[in-house]
Amino acid sequence: MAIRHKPIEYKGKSIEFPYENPAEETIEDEYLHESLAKPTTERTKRLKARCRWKHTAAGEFVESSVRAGMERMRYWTEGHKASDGNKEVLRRANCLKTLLDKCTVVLQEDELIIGYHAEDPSMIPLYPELSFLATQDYIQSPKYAPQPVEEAQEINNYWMKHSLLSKCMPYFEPHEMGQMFQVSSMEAPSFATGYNSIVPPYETVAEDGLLKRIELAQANIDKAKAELAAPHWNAPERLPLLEKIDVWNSMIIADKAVISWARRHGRLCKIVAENFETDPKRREELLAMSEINQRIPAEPCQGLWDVMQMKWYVYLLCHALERYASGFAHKEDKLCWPYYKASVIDKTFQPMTHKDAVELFECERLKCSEHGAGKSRAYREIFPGSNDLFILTVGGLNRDGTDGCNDCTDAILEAARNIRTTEPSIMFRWNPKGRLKTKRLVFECVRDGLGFPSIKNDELNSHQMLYYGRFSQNNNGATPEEAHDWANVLCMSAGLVGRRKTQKTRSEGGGSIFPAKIMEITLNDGYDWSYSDTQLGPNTGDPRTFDTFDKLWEAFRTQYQYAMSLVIRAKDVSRYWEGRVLQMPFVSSIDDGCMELGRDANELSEQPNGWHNPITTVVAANSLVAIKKLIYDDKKYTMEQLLDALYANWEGFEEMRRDFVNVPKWGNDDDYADGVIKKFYEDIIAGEMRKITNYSGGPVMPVGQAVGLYMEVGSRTGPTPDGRFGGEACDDGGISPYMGTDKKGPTAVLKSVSKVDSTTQKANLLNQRLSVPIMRSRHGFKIWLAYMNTWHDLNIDHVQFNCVSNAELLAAQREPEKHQDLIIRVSGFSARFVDISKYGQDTIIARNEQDFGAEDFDFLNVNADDLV
Amino acid sequence: MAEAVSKVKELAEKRKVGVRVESGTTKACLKCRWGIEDPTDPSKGQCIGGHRTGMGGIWKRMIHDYYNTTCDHFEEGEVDFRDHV
Repeated sequence: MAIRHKPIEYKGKSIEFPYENPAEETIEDEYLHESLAKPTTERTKRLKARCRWKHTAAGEFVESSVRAGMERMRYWTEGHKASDGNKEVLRRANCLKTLLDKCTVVLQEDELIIGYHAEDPSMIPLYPELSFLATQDYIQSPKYAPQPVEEAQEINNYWMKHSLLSKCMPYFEPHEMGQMFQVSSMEAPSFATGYNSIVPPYETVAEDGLLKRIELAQANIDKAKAELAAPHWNAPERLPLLEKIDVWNSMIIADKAVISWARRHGRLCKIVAENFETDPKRREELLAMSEINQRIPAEPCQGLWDVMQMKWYVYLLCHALERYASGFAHKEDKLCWPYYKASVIDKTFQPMTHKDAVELFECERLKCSEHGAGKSRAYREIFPGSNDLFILTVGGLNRDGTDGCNDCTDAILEAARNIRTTEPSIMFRWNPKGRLKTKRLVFECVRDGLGFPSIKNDELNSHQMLYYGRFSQNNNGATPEEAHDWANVLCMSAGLVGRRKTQKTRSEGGGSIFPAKIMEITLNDGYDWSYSDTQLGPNTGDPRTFDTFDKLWEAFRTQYQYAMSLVIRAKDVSRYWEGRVLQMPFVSSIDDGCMELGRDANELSEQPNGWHNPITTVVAANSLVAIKKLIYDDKKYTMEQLLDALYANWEGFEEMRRDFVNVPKWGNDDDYADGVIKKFYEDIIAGEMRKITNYSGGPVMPVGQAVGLYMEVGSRTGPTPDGRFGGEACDDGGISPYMGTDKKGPTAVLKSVSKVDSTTQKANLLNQRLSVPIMRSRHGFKIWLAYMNTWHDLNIDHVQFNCVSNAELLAAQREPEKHQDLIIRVSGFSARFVDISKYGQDTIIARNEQDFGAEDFDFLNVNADDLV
Repeated sequence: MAEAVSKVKELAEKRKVGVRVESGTTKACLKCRWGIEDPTDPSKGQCIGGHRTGMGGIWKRMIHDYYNTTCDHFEEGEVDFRDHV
C-alpha cells in the first residue's frame, strides 16, 4: 500500500493529502514507477520492448550486444584517401558522399521514422578523424572492437597524422596535455576526446528543402565566377572568392549525397512493401514512407510525418555521420507546430489525430533511445544510465512575445509521460504567459518521476541571448525577436535556434573545470598527491604560511585562472583547426549565414555563446566556508592541523571532522555561509571566467552543472575541508546544495540560491527532490505551481526534480530486474536507475527528499482555501 | 615549503600501496580486474582497488603506464559496472 502524507496544520486548517488517483493507494511504494508507463499504441509498446538501448556506465555499455561498427570509419577514410590533393573542405564533402553512397541503410519493423548511423542497430560508429585515442580505446577492447580489427587498426594509424588531435597537440607542452587529459581539475579538450555539440538549423531544411539549398549554392558560385571574370581585376577583393567557391561546391556535393541517401531508404521501403510485407496495413505504411523519403529532405516539409523524418535525417547527419555531436538541441514545438497544424488541425497534408501525433513523438523518443555514439571512454563514464545527452526544448515565447505553448507542445509532453524513456530529456522554458494546460503536463512528467522537463527561466535566458549578441564580430548578433528563439544546447546552456547564428561546435561553449580538485591542489601548492602524483597547477605557496583568508582566496583564484586559461586556449586552438581540417559541408549548407557568406560552419561565428562548466563548485565553496570559520575566524584549528587530517583522510581526526561537517553549508539560508559562497560564485567562478575572450570575441561565462562528473571527479579527489572523505562523490549540480546538507526545507534552498546574481552566470543547475506523497496527492499541482511561481519571482535560472521515494530506490538496488522503468534525474540528464553503479545510485538516495511544511506553504503563498 | 612538498610526495607514494612499474610484466594493470583505462588516453589507466569510501565508493589512483605497471593485489578479470563509479 502507498503511504499517504501526514496532515499538515496550515492557517488554522488541517490539510489532508489523499492521492489524486485513488487507485494508486493500493500500489506499493516500492513498485510505483513500474505501473506508470502507458505507451499510446501497441506499436510503440512493441518498439519499446525491442529497443536496443545504448546506455553506458563506468565506461562500458550496459547491454552486452553493443559493438563498434566498421562502415563509417572505413568509408570516411576511403573518401579521404581518394581525394588526396584536393582542398580539405572538398575532401570532407567527398568523405561524406562516399559514406552515404556506400553505407548500409537500415529499416526496422514497426518504425514510422527510419534511418540509422551504422550497419546494424546494435552497432555504434567510430570517428578516428576526431580522436585516434578514443578510437584506439575501442580497438583494444575485446568486447567492442570493430571487425576486422586489423583493418580498424590500419585506419586508425592513418588518422594519427591527419586527425584533429594531431593538428592541435603541437601547441601545448606535455605537462599541459597531461593535466588536461586526466580529467581531475579540467575536462580533457575536445580535440583529444572527439566530444562535441551542435545546434542544427533544422528550419532551413524544413522550409526550403535541400534542392533549394543546392540552387542557392550554385547561384552564389555563378555570381562569384562572374565577379572573378569582370574587368579591372582586383586581387585583394576577388581572391577570397576562391575559398568561398570551394565551400559552396562542397555544400552541393554534400546535399546531393544526402538526397540520394534518403532516397535509398525510400527505395528500400518500396522493395519491402512490394516483395516481402504480408500485412496490408504495414504495406500501406511502407509505401507512404517510400514516398516521404523520395521527397524529404529534398523538398520542403508539408506535414508532421515529413518533419519528423526530416528531423531524424538531419539529426543523424549533424550528430553522427558528418561529425559526432552530442545533444538534440532544437525548440521542437516551434519547429513542428506548422506541420502539426497542417496534419492534425487543418488536415491539409498527412491528416492525423492528436493521438497519432503523440505516437510519432513516442517513435522519435525510441529512435533516440536506440541511438548510440562512438564516444570516448570519458563520456561513457560521465552520463551513466543514459546513452547520450539528448535534450530538446519546448515552451517559452514566440518571436512576437506571445505564448509559445501549443497543442504540439502538449503532444511532445504526453509522449514523454506515456512511453517513459530516459531519452530525450526535455527542457521547458518557464514564462508567466505559458498556458496552464501545458504547465499541468510538465507537472505530470515531473510527478511521474521522469526527472524532466528541467525548467529554465525564459526571460533571463532571452536577455542573455541579447547580451551575447552585443559581442558579434560581424554585428549580426541576436535581434530582440531572435532572442526568443533559444533552446538548450546540451544540458543547461541556452543557445539560439533557427536558420542561422546557431552554435556549431563545442569549442564555442562546453567543457568543464572542477573547483573541488582545484581546492585540493590549492592546499598543496598546486600538487596532486591523491590521484595522479603530478604537479597539476602553478606553485601558489604553502597554505600554512597564509596568515589571512584572503591569501588562500587569492591562491585559489590563481589556480582557477590557470586552469581556465588553459582549457579555453585548448578550445580555441581546436576551433582554429576545426575550420581547416574538420569542415562540415552539410551543416554549412543548411545555415543561412554560411550560405550567404560562403564560409564553413566551424569557422563562422555570428552569435558568440562562450561558456565553460564549473562542476563540483559547492564542495570547494563549503570547504572555503569551513576554513574561514574554523581556522581564520574562530581560530579553533590551524592550517597545519587541517592538512594533517586531510592527509590521513580524517582517520584519527573524527571530532575535528565533525566540526568541519557542522560548519554551515550552502542551501540553508545561512547568511555566513551564503555570504562567502555568493562572493565565490560572482568574484571567482564567474569573475575570472569572464575576463577571458574566446574565438567569437565574447566573454566566457560559467554554466554550473554536474553530469556524472560529480562522481568521477569525486573519485579522483582526495578528502576536502567540508568534511568529505577522499573518493566520495562531489556535489551533484552547479548551485545545488551538497547531498543531504540542505536541512531547512525547500524554501531555504530557494532563498540561498537566489542570493547569487543570476545574470553573472550563464546557467546554474539546481537539483531538488520532492516528496512523492505530496506531489501525487490531489494538492500536488497547486503546491508545485506555487513553488514554481516563487522560483520564477526569485529570478533563479533553473530547477529540476526527482520525485521518487527511497523505498523504491532501495528496492531497485536489491532487485534491479524488477525495476526497468525506474528513471531518476542524475544532473543534466535522466538515467535508468538500475543502469548506474551503486556508487552513483547512493548519491541519488543521499539527496534530501524535500518535504513541505506550513512555513514553506506560507513563503510560497499557497492559498489554504485551495487545499480542500 | 620544500619540507611540505616532500611530505606530500611521500603521501602520494603511500597512496600507491605497492603499485610499481615492471617493464613487460604479465600481470599488468591492463589485465587486472581493478584496472580501467584512463578516460582520455588508453595507454594510461586508473586503479579502482585500494580505498573504498564510507559510501561504498571508490578513491581512484592514476596509472601512468597501463601496460607495464603491476602490484601485489593483481587479479585477472573485470569489475561489473555496478561495482564501479
